Amino acid sequence: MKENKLIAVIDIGSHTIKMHIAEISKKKDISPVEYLWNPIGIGRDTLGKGFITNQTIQEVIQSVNKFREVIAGYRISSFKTYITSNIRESGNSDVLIERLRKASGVTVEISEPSEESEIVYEGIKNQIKNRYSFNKKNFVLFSIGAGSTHIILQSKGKIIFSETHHIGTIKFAKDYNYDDKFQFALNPFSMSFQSTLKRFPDIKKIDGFIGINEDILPLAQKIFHDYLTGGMFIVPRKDFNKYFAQIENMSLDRIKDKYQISDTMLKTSKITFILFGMFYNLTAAPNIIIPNVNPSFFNLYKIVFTKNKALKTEIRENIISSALSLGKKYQFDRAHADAVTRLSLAIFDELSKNYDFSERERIYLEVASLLHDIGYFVGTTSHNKHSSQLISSSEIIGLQRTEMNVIGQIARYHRKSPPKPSHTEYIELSMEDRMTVSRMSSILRIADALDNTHSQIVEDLKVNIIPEKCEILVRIKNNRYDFLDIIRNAVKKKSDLFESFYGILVTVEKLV
Amino acid sequence: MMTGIINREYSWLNFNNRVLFEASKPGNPILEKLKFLSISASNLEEFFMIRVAVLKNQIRARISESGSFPGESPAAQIEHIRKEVMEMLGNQYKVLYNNIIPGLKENGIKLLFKTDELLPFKDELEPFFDNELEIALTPLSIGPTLPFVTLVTGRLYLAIGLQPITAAALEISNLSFVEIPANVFGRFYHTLKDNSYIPMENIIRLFIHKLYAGYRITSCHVVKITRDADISLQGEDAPNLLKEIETSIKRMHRRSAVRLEYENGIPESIKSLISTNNRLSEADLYPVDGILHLKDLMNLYGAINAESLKFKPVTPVYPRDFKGKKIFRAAGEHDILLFHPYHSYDPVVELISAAADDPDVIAIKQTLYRTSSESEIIKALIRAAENGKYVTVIDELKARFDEKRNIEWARKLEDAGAHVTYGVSGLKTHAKAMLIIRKEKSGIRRYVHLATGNYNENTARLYSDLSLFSTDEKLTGDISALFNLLTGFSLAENWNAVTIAPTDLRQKFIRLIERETSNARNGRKAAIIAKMNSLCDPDIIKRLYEACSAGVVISLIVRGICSIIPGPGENGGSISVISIIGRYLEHSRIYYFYNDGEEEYYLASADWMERNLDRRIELLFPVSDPQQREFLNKIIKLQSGDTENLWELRPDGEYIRRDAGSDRKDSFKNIYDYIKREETAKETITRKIFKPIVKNKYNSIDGEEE
Repeated sequence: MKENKLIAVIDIGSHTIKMHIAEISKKKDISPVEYLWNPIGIGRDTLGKGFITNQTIQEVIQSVNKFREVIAGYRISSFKTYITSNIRESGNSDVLIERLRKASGVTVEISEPSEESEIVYEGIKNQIKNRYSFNKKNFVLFSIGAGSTHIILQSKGKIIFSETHHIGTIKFAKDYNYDDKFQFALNPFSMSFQSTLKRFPDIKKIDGFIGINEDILPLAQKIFHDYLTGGMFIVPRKDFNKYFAQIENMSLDRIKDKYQISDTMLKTSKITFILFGMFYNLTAAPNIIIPNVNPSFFNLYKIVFTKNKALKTEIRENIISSALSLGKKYQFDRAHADAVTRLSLAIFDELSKNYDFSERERIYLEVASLLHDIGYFVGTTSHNKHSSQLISSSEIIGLQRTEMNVIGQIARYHRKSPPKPSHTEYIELSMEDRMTVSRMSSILRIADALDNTHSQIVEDLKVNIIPEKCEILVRIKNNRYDFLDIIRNAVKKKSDLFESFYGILVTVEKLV
Repeated sequence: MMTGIINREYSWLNFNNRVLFEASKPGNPILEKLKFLSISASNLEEFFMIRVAVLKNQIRARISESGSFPGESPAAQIEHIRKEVMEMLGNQYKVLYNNIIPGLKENGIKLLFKTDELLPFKDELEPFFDNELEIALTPLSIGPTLPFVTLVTGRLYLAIGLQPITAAALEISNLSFVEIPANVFGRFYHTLKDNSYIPMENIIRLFIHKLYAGYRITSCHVVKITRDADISLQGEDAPNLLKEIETSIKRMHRRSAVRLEYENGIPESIKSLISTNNRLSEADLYPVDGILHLKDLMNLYGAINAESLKFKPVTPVYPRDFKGKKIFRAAGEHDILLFHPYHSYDPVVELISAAADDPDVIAIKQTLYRTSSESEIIKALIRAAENGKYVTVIDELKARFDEKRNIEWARKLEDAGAHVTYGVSGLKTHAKAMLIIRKEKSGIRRYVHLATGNYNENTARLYSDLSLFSTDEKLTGDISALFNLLTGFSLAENWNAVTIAPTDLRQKFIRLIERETSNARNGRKAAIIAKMNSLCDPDIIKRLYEACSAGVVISLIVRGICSIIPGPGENGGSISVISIIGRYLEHSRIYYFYNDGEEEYYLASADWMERNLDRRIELLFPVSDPQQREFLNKIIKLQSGDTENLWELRPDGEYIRRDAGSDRKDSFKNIYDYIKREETAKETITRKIFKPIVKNKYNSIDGEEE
């Protein structure tokens, strides 16, 4: 990059539409240049009516057109527009997206919940950098938006869990009645959070709690200005709880008067403060960290770092660590999962020399291999189907909802019947995704068959693709080649999909 | 605790009397006296067009108590005003005939304002009338078949009594009007010899019979109608607003009349006919012993080429911070505070002009309230738009009396490709701000210029105003957000440095005053110094009284209307009010709060008036730099110590001049000398210091060409 570049991102949320314009330096530092926002009623319409009204659609179009003028003024040639995944809860989200495209020429990308979590995580990482031992300790990231809340658990620099709840400050504001009923209304939410933390017993304690929200910033800037360091408010527990108690008992008018908070943010900033307090106090983190940055700014990191190879590796690592955590949650056979993963990737890597596989497919295969047997948690019978359902309904940062569905299907077909037209979830996939499912599940079936005994007996393998044959050469542990026939039979039973898809025979021989 | 307020209208009349005083002040050059007389007349005209019109409308609406001054009915106020105005008019003409005309005569310049003084010039004047003037005259006669003439506001007419004498008279008419074509020929005729100036109406009067063949002229007197000029608008959508203002301007002559001025001696019947047809009462009639419309004397000030009879010209000091450097380099090194007209206004014009042509400039945004007719700033904005920059202009169409000019500029800017908004619905955009966005080696950088005065190169030479150049990120971020707010692109989130009216400014001022009050109550030193054009907001006044009672020392420098009553308070507090009237029109707004030693200084576009705090977009911005604060302190000190131009407000509402004694201090001169010394000192320091070449915070090298 010869000189600093200007980028813009428009973020259509539940109750605001925002635009950030930033400058990227040659070192990929992102500096804010402009921030614009307007209120819109998508969340209000969805909650109240179940659909987005014509007036709201017009407001969104108007705001986008105005933002485009500003973008043109800065001579920014390309920009991205994202819309919250909550929009799917309204009955006519497609109408909004299509009308916006026609009226403004803008193509909107719908952010998946996992994508939104990913954006939050990457944003925080870039803000915090190497400070506060972020890459070495255990952190909870608690991001409350207007329509959704993301909880991310990170251990030693790796994401091990992420969860999105489709509830945010708008719904909380609707339920908030200024008395203690609010606390009770949040009980299910806070209990779910507690049980999440307990699910990771190796996380003895949470070292840091990061609270992320836009509306709280004016209040935080007034109350915590002495705690601001390096763009973050780092507030010790005792001090935070002192203010927490005050704010909790202060009327909205009093808060407005004392801290000069504008009416648009007054209620949601108090609610967020209380939510932060409630959830922070469920952990033992010594400090609460509140980044002094508008979370929608994090969308810019997505644009900047999409092509960054180092980041891709990091994202992959986070995906795998989240997958492992998911496996642990469902008490999977770790050794078998690792073995199947190792074997399936070895087959994949060899096949990829002859077939045009994508990096993304490799990740799908890897995750599906790790999680293919988590269905046992539900039941032995048809455990592959349980695995598919558990995977599809889970969230892994770095993978979109559609991708989790694909991985679920890959896991489903690791045993028993290959994909059939009567299988609804399979048929509902796009043609491309169906191809992926068939290709990857065929590999997974063979890899699973190779560890049929769940004893990790195949300690090494080599794959040779020769004309009309896929030769799998195996080294068996302790030279127990008397197991070779068992392995051959298992592979033969499960190579049907592979042979019909790739049109080549699969054989298993001894690796010499 | 102190209470009570001074009626704002009476306070204003007092202010105009102080202006009028300058027309007779010993020591003022004679043409400057002429100018001040003209200004006092012009001020009075506007006062009738707006303030008296408001009171008359209240009477029409049967409002028994004026909102701006409870306790006195609009009718009672008009009566009081009339009494004061009659006295003021008497003083104006006394000054003109006893002081100014003789004074000019002593210097070889004659103002021949009496008709009989024209006779020696008849040979010169008659051909002028026959060959030039007569063609421009259109008699408008009133008769049985001819409707009464609508007299345009502010224009002079001869009201001519007629008597038909022959059958040659085409129409039966007893009264005719002829407009004095001052727009075409000017108000005064300058004789070819003898350096005399003759009012145009007197020339017409001399030869008026030539216009009315078949009539005998029974009387000929000058009259003038003043009409309500307060345009209140119905719809404020952009296309409608423009059209509505244009229509309102065109229909100005149909608005209600508020005053009739006439030359003394006019026949009662004619006077009665004019006043009846314009729905004026006796209280609205103002007889004049002399020429009408003294505002036009300003034309003489411009026309008479006699520099020795004016204030000695003062060359504005070109700021050292800008000298010898490219403008963006200069403006980007550190914040610069200028005090015009002592400091030259050129850097402001140079900045916008450079921005228009600089290929690295991406966008320019600017507010316009009152501009000059040949504005270099607007020409630069047009050029910038034509050069492909993203130019946004908030052109306040509702700037009273400048509507037409602002409309013209709006059209020209739009034609050039600028994005023009006509202000904000329901509010006047009074903030003065300029924002330039530039792409530099180190990245995007924003430059702002904020001011207490308008972007008007002409008034910048006559009004004293402060302006700040800055690239401070908090300030520029706020101004960027302000423009997004004003153009409707975005709501504002938080203001990091500035405060805006009408959303937050009143509360801000109240908090600042209350903080001083609280400090005083707790036994700590507390002080407020505020300099502004007008102070009449009842809520602010109430808080100031409370502060004074608590022990806050309040020093106010208020040029014009001041409704607060000065005096000592309890606990050592006090309120003092001074007004500076003189060579330059005091226009700057400075607000200082002691804040228990952590002093705060602010500059603003707003006065302490309800209209500023509640009905306008205004801007308050802090001054943090210690040197700039010291500069402001010095200005205030020099003005407070003035003995030549300073008036002190007494508790009874009257102003008295400070007794100079032998200690004569002219703050206008002293401020100029101070600024000149400071700028010279900067030059000396810059020459002597060895400045190392290092990278600055923008990662560029000082001294490196951008």
